[in-house]
This record gives sequence, structure tokens and C-alpha cells, in this order.
Amino acid sequence: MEVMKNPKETARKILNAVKTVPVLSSSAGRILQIIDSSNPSIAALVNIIRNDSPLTANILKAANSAFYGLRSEVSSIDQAVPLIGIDEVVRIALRSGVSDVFEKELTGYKGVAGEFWKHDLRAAIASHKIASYGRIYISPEIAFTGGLLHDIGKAIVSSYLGDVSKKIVEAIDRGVVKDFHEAEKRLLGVDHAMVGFEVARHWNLPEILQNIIRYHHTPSEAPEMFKPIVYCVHLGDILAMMAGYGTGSDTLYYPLDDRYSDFIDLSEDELHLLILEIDEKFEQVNY
Amino acid sequence: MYEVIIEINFCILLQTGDPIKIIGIGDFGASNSTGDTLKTFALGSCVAVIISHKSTGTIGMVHVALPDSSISRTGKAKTKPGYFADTGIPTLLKHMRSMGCVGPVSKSQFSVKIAGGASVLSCSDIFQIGRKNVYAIKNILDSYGLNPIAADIGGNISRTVSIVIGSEKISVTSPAREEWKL
Ligand SMILES: [Fe+2]
Ligand SMILES: [Fe+2]
Repeated sequence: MEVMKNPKETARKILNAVKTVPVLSSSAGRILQIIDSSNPSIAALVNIIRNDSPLTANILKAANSAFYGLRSEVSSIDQAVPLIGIDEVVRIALRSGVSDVFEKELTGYKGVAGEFWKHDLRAAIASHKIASYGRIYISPEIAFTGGLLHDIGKAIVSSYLGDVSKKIVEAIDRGVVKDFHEAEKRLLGVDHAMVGFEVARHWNLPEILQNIIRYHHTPSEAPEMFKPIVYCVHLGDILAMMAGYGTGSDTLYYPLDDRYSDFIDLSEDELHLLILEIDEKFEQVNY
Repeated sequence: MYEVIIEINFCILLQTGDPIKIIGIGDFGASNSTGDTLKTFALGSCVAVIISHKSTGTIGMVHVALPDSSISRTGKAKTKPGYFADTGIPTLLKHMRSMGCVGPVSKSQFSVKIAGGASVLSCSDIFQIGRKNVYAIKNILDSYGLNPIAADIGGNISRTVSIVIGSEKISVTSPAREEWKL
């Protein structure tokens, strides 16, 4: 496999580029802090949203969408937030609160426009559902949020992959390199999970989200206290790829860590049912 | 002209004249108009089953996501029979028969190709859904006396599959790979 001239130099450039990522909108940042609290309250979310008029407008728009089928119009944020639920608030706040990061076409991964967001949303829905199979309590809202953000590093790494993803795919097929995660590290000196972690720190995200992003492909390396939720999002990511919702050339080229079963208790029938439910939920919210 | 798809509630409907029919997850469709295309995107662990009827030139496709409909408690097999191997293949055959693919189902009239059934890099048995889909599909086909004459299955490749009515070969594509034929 052709390795870039100097992976160390490339890694330095990539990590420098993280500093130029636009900051998270202050309401999105505060919403994520609330999700991370032990008992996320609707009232606290309402207070943040109220002070952000574009976000208020987007949330009212969602609440009034045909999906909820209400006869009368929802005009207040107090009504809208409980109606659409916490996941929807996070989804709307992040999509508009991280400038156009999710809208990016991941050309380095040979991705097409729109694919990145769909993969993340699919992984988020899957992670939320998997959370209920945790052997100990896993917050479904944090799992959802982690699912949305897990691949954020790809938004930066993509530009540095240039045209090599075809070579990476060939190298994995020939057994020269074991997976895409490994290939990124060898080629670029850094992988998208680590770059995502740097973005998460740059954004001051709660520690739990930083860890989900950093270890989503290497969950066994996560600090013990975060392992259950890291494995949860690890599986959510994999289920998204298995359903055909990837981000391009790297789709499916990642390992599943079987030790998930220490933290997630999932029978085969439950897994099949889960896949079905994820599909149905995705149809509802993917607009 | 497209044949009108009878089971309206669970079939994709496209405007007449659109030459490409997109088959989503759990959908199915068929056409006998030369030049029409049946296409399904990014199969992952799902499997596309493509059935050709020789004397009428009809080609049908179903996008199977799971092996067995008995897991659904919400009647998914009724609303989207294409979703499961055990209901998807009979439904596609029935649909093709309603389009004039009559006579007994046998190898002399029907030929089948399958593509998809990929997986991530994993040793976990329960996550080998692609392989289980393929296994279930082959069993159902076998009950009709059919077996795939060509298969492009497994691996870590998310395949996009399309076929033009009137042509023999299926086109398979995947990001960062050259197109290949099946
Ligand atoms: Fe990833
Ligand atoms: Fe991912």
C-alpha cells in the first residue's frame, strides 16, 4: 500500500485543521450539556431553545409537521418540546448548530452528498434502540447523540484522503491492512475517531460524548466507566453500515468487537426485530 | 408502459414513463418493457433477488432485509412482504405471474441471480445477517425447484445493483470500485 510521504506531518496538518472547525452554536452546546445531566429536563431544554429564534422556528416546524398529525397548530415551544421529544430536539439543534459539517460531501471516502448525515442519523436511531438492551442502564438520549456525532472526524479526514480510498480498499481485500481504521492511521498518521475526539474537545462536548467518538471503532480501549455506551454506539454504527447506510468506500470495512456482549444482551431474534424497528423509525424521521 | 402493481399499499409506484424503478429496502418490482431499469442501492447485509422469466422477458427484483417474517409482531410481512426472504420471494413470483409469467415455476422458465449479503469484519454469529439471508433465500428458491445461476454475495462490499430489461447481465457497483457484471 502506498503510504503518504510523511504520516506524521499529515497528522499534524489534520490536527491543526481541527482548530479551524467552526464552534458549536451556544444553544447546541448547552443542549448537549443538559442531555449529559443525570435527569435531562424538558423545562431546561425549553429555556435554551426559547433564546434561539432560528432553533425555535425549526422546532415548531417539526412539531407542526404532518407526522404528529395534530389538528391545531403548536405555537409554543413548551408544547412543542414534549411533543417531539429529546432526540428530535438534539437532531434539529445539531443539524443546524454545527454549521454545515453534516452536509459535507465526503469526497475522500467517495461519499455522495447527504450520505454522511443519513449514516449518522441511522447510527443514532440504532444506538438509541440498542441502549435498552444494556446489561446496565445506558442513556438512550446520550446514545442517540453519540450516534449522531460519532463520525464527525470524517468531515476533516475526508479532505486528506485525496484519491487513495481505492487503494485502501484493494489493500484490505489483499489482507495488507486489516481494516479502514488501521489504514487511516498508517496513511495519515491519525484516524477519523481520534480526529473526531479532537473536534469534540474543541467544541467542549461532555466527556462521555468525547469518549464515544474517540473509541467507537476500538471500544475495548475505552475507560471502563464509558464502555457500555461506547459499545452501544459501536453496534449502532455497524447496524447502520449493514443496512447499507455508510459513508462511501469505508462502509463495512470495520471490525465488530464481539465483546459487546459483556455490556449488551441481545438475542438473534431481538437483533432482527431491532433492525426492523430501526428501519421504521428512520423512515419517520429522515426528512 | 409499466404494469400496474396490484398490491398498491406495499409497492413502490412510479410515474409511467420513468425508465428507472428504484427498489427500496423491502420493496419489490418487475417490468417487461425493454429498456426499463430496476435498481436497488447499497445492499449491505440485504440481498437483491433478481428473477427473469424467459418467454416473456419479464424481470423482477426484491430487496430482502431479513430471513424470516415470523419475528415481526406488527404484521410487517403483510405491509412489506419483500422485507423477508420467506415472504418476499413468493410475493415477487406471484406478482410476476400476475404480469403474465404463467406456467409452472421451474428452472426452464425462471432464472435467478442474487447479490448482496455482505457483513462487517466480524466473528459474531448473530451479526452474520447477510449470510443468513442468503441461506434463507436459497431454501425458499429450492422449494420452487429453483437455484441461483449466479451469485455475488458476502464480503465487506455494499453493493448497488441494477438491471436493464432486455439485457442479460446485472450491473454491480460499490464506492471506490470499478463496476462489474453478474
Ligand atoms: Fe467511524
Ligand atoms: Fe460510522
